[in-house]
Amino acid sequence: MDITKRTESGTLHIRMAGRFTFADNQAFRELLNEIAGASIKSVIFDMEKLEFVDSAALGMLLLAHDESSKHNKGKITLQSASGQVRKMVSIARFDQYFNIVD
Amino acid sequence: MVSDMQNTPEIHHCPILVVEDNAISRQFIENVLHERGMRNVLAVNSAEEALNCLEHFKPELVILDLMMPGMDGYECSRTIRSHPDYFDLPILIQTAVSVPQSRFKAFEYGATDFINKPIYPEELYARTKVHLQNRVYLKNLRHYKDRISDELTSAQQLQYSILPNANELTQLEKSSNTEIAAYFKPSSEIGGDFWGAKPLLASSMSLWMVDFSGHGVAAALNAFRLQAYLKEHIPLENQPGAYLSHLNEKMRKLLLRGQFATMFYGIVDSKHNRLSYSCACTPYPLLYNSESGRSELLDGTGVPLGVQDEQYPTQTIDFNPQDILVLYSDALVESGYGSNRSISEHMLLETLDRHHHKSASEIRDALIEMFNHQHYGMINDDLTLLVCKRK
Repeated sequence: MDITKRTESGTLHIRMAGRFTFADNQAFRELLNEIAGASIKSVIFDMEKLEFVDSAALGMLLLAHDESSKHNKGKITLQSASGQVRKMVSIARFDQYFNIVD
Repeated sequence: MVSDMQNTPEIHHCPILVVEDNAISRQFIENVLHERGMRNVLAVNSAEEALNCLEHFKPELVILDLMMPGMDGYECSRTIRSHPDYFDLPILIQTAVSVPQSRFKAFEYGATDFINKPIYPEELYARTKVHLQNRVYLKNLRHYKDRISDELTSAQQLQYSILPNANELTQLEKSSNTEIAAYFKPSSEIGGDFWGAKPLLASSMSLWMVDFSGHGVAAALNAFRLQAYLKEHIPLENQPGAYLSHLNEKMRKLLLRGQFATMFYGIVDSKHNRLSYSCACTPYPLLYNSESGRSELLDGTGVPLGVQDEQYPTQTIDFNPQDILVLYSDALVESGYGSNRSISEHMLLETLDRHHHKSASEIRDALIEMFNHQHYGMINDDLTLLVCKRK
């Protein structure tokens, strides 16, 4: 998976592209630290270019959710998920943890 | 690291074969090695003799002279190297010839390293030590790898053994008035997939399919633990949703954050022609409805087990004779995603429609065949498939 990041008035935008799997474990853990950072007020995962997530990826998203709520940053937004990603997110009822927007 | 390398006591017991025709040089090398604690040195005076004693002496290092009457060091080196047992035996060439071409040639003939005459004791010892240490490290790594791979093989056999066996299945089919056919293939080693079923009172049975997130040992250990519980434990709850909620509580205590399990748990009641079930993030189960003559997708949505406090609802549907329930792990539809080789739920429904009149095992085979055809039999995830057909 390729990740590009930018921060805009306290919001961390994370653009994800490709396949998000167990192989991204290390890179994603570094991302968790950034989410916890003091200057970040909210987090958006832009999933428009994301093609695939496996079960480990769903677990990592839950860790991000934990990190965000632990630091009182509110719900993370999952934006523009489609295809298999959309399907996995909805089978797992992720609407309970995340703001899911088109 | 340096002190670690200096303390490799095993190297002092490694057999070292010295091949040198000159008696004085031979004695010199032997003395240098003995004085520095090498306890297993055999010195011979020709290449022919060296080759003769390879098999019983089993050297870990050969210190070889190049210029010898009879077979020379090049030929000796090549002969040793051509034997499959010695493909990686270090061969240290010692010679007075200083033209680089002779060194190139020696490497070509299988030499590992070089030492020039006159030999300095410290250099000889240093090179000997390096080669023997590498040898010991490599050997330890190989042992470790062999042991792990043996253990994974037995773990994989254990994974098969926790699934219902043929006898149990026959009993179950009889008591629940169903036909059951399953397919189970762990990915490369071991993983977190399993299924199970057990008879309940009055021609009903419970059946489940579980997939722990991730692969490997941690997922497999969790799988063993939950399977043992499901097999032994008699649920107080007779509603699948209530039982999933109970299991979710257990999982929340057991699993680390970021780990979870997906699960289908259902009760087939053949007396009342009903199936009640509850899902925690399972791919859409398939149901062939004999009344409508069509296959459909059941709702598999639900928060995975082990994530948060959650109440799982129970769905209850008709499950009449000739109806078919198909459960599968996500590998079936996820593999090859993004290529045109991925299997859609639509294809599964179509296959089920086409084969619904066949036996459970024929339907299973048809689904697996479609899968293998689509993926040339290659998958990188655990694959589990369960077909349950009402009689």
